[in-house]
Amino acid sequence: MKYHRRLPYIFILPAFICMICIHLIPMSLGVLSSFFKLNIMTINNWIEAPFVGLKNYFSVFSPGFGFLENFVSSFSYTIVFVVLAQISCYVLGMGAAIVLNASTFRGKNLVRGLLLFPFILPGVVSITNWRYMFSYDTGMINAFLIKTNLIENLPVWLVGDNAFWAILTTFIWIAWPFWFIVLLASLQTISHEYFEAASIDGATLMQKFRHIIIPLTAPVTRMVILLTFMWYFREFKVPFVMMGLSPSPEANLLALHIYTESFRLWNFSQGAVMAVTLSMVLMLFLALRMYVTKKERSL
Amino acid sequence: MKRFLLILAILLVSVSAVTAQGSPEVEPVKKLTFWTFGSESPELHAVMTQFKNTFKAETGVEVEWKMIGWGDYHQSNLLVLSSHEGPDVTQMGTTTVAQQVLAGAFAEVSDLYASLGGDQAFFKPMLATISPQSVEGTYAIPWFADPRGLIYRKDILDTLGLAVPASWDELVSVSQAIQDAGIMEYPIGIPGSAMAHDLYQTIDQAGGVIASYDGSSTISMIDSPESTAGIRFLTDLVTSHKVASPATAEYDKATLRAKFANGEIAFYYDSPQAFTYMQENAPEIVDGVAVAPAPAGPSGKASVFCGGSHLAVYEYSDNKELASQWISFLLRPEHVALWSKVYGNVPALLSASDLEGFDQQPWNSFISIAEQHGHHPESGPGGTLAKVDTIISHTILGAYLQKQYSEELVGTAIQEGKLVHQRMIDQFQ
Repeated sequence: MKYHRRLPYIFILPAFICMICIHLIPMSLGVLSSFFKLNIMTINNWIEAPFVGLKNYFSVFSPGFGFLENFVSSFSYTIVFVVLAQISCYVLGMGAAIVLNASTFRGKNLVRGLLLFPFILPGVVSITNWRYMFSYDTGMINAFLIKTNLIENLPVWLVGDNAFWAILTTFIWIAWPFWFIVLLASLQTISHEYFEAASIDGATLMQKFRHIIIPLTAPVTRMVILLTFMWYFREFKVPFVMMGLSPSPEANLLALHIYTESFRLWNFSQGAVMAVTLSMVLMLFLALRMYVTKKERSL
Repeated sequence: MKRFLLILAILLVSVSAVTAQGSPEVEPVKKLTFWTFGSESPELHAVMTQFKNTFKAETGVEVEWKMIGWGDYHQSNLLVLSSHEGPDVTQMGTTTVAQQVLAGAFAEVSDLYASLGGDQAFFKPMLATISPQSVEGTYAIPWFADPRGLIYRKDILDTLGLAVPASWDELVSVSQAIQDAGIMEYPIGIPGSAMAHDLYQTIDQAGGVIASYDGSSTISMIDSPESTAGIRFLTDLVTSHKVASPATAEYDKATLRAKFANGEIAFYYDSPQAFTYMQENAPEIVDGVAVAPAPAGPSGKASVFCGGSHLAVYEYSDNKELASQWISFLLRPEHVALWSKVYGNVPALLSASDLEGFDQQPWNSFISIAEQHGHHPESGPGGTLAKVDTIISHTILGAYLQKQYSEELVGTAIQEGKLVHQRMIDQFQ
């Protein structure tokens, strides 16, 4: 009997140890390093780096040190990036899911598989392809614009304002199939009787969408929004592969900014302060997600 | 069960004891670890394998060699610095030696340097970076040099009856003549996504320095009038003279090499590796290409950035003696010449400069240009422009693309770059 009581803990133990070693210890060290003076000179003997209290937080969040302006800019672009990515992914994912859910043509499964392709491909491959497509001189996008005479002055996509749209487009391409597959699964759980009844009552497509699809997929949508907010907020791969370590400010998302500040400019402590801030934002959303889940269960 | 386990344990102990007594004493193979940076090619691999085999035959020491991409250069150095785990000997880019020494990464190699001939034995432009300005002693041994020059299409200039540009103004006017002849849209290439090396030389050509050391502290000087002129010269090629592409901030050195090989640009700054690239990718244009000193700036200097790589021994190495032996081995003239040739640079050892065809074109032109005009930024905490160059190029060229370019914005971009530069310098003082 005693053995049976212990068994679940024994099963959990390896995962628990891994969590401590891989997450908890490095995270704690990260938080700790935000209170120490850790740079290229002290990293050599980082255990004895001087304790500076909240000085690093002060330098990051006070104007004049050069950190705040870039942090705020990076944070703002990240917020806009996340919101636009979520809206676009929802529109694309829901649109494709509705079309595919309502269709009965042969080869539907094949189309579904093809739509998932960007999600299945290794991210670096997709991102690199997009990078070449956005290239000013040799990119497919500018070549298309020249051929079709759609624009007089060719845009430079990877620098300045356009860099933001370039990373956003690339990211949406990679991310939307996830929304599509989740929303399709959610749509498939809605009984056809609702749609038939609505049709008999003379409901338009828009009315069916608004009064059947949105409310009945809302729990799943809410969960996906909360989850993807946390995932998208720490997006690193797309700006890094497309722009390297020195992107235009418009493409300098927070995760990349923290990485560059820490590992290219050696401001490890200030990088840690920014990472702690990012973690706190994400934790807030994690708490919100847990609250929403709890509330939904109680309904 | 317990009895069985006891018997098994006794048996195992006995067998190990007998085996240990019976085997002859074998001296463990001495090992040394060595890191180089760059792209591993079959040719480089073959040369290093040959070196390793010869060294092992001579000394009995086995060298474990690892080639790491330049993209992972800073990360690798940082890992060694923080963990004290890494190679015994490493290749080190000239611009970062000072910072590594100040951070306590390298062992002093003054005696080894003297035994290899000291200052007289090495290519002069390399000597400024073997130790930081503020530190006595030598911490790095020059291995090969990477001098830049103005790579240009001599055939096009000859066709148009133009002379190779010798000043900034001439570079602009010759480029405009090429544009007017309808040969190229943007004849000059600048690596706007990583233009630190180009800035090192234009700032010097304008009479400026990127950082100044007064014996006790270092300050960033990239906002001085001279440095501003050097920066402005490069960005004005895009914004005012329109002889460089508006997409300049997108370009890196690899893009420019490809563009030059494709006949899209007529001028850019590059090292001897440019010719290796052309011979492999566009052999038909090689005969029409030449190298010249950089066009001189307002100070009259035609400075070319002379980077390259040194060899250094990590302070944490337990094999410092073996490390010195390995460096001495690599520094034999025939070895320096062979490695430099395959790597695509010129030897930093003077006695190697007439081996392996380095006394022929285009190699001897690079050597001669570097001897006359070679320049390297001060060896100190402010010796690099990490990210500073792209802050400047992205801000200025990004604003230009968005039609928000102004004189004030140039000043703001340079001030922002200076803030980052000074912050990096301050870590060391």
